[in-house]
Amino acid sequence: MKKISVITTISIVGMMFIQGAFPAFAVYTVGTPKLVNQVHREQNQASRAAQRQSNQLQNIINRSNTMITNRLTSLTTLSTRIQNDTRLSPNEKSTLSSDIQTAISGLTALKTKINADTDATTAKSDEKTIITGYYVYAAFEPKIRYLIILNNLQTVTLNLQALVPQLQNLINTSQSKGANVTQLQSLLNDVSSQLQTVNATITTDIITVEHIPTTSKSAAGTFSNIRTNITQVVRTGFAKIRSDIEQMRPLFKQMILQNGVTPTPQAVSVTPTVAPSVTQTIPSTSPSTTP
Amino acid sequence: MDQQGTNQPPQSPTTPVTGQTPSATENIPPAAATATPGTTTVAPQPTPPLADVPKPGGPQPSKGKSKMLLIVIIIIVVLLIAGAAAYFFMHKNAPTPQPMVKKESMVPSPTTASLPTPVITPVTTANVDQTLNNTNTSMQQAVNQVNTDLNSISSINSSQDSTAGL
Repeated sequence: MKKISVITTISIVGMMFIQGAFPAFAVYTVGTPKLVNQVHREQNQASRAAQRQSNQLQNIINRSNTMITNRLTSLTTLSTRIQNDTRLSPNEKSTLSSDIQTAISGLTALKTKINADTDATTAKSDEKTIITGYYVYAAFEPKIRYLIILNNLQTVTLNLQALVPQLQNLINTSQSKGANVTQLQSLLNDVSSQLQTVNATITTDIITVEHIPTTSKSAAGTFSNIRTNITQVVRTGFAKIRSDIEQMRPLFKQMILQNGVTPTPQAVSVTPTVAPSVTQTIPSTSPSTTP
Repeated sequence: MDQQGTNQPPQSPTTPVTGQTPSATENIPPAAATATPGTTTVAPQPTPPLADVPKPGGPQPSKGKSKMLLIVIIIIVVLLIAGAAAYFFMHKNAPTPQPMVKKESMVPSPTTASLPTPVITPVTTANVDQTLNNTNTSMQQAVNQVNTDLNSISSINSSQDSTAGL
């Protein structure tokens, strides 16, 4: 009887020990390498993902820096072009340069922000802003360059228009002395007519260009129309005027030799009789000019 | 019948002869009012209250009152001056109310720009040929510059502003 109870007790204790120790043996013997491998794998995956994200961020930053540097170079070249121009008025230079400086400041600030970005999503969004916020190549630079062209042409046109009344005065004086001025008058009339057409085209085009937004690149059609006006209307008009002038020169020489005309000089300062152009006050991002 | 004994009340030897007893003596202790038996007791003269008697060398009541009144008036005047000064300094630097101005800077408004007035040297028979020649040259230069600028515009690579790859 005593033996049976001892055996039973030993059996119970033994079973309890086995039940309690088995899971531990199971973990440390069967599952350990698997678990460790899994942890290592996940760690490696996380590390690789972090590395990938870091590389992606760095790539975006490098690409953005290149994009911004290219744009800043173009804008600086444009600014130099304006400063070296001999026909633009100080006011026009100031307005155009101010618009360029605003774009340069904005891009420089954007560069600083992108370089400080810590996640790829934000950096990518900022990278897009380099393009969509400025459209330097699609809108801004063409806009400024067209304004430079148009302002230059307008200056030349105004100077010519101021010359017309003085030539008319010479012709009138010569006519009063009996000279035949028919051909000269006809040529001068053509010059005056061409100037009116050219000036009207330039004035309209300046307003059109000023209203082109730099926040979209949908101005390609407008730029194309402006180019056509410059190459066809203005350049053709100028060519005709130059031809008229070349024809007028020998006629004036002949007239002076025949009549010895010495007309009284007019006032030193001549105000052109063209209608004043209308400019628009537009947001700072849009370059504007006051002719 | 004894008349004296029945009609007259017995007089106490301490009772004064005079029927009037001054109030000032009512508080006097009995020991002080005790007189020698057999002698007539004279009632003491009533003593007036001390406050009513002005001291010969002390301050006059009317003078004290006027001094107090003067001090109060001075204090009031000082307070009024201090208050006025405080009011003045508080309102001295008060900002003047500014009218509300509606900003409309983003709304494009057409403005007429004054055109430059070209200064032209008077054209005479002596300089007309030179003037026309200079004008011709100036126009040629302007056209050349226009051609250069148009070429610059043509060389702009607008595809750099494409967001397709981003």
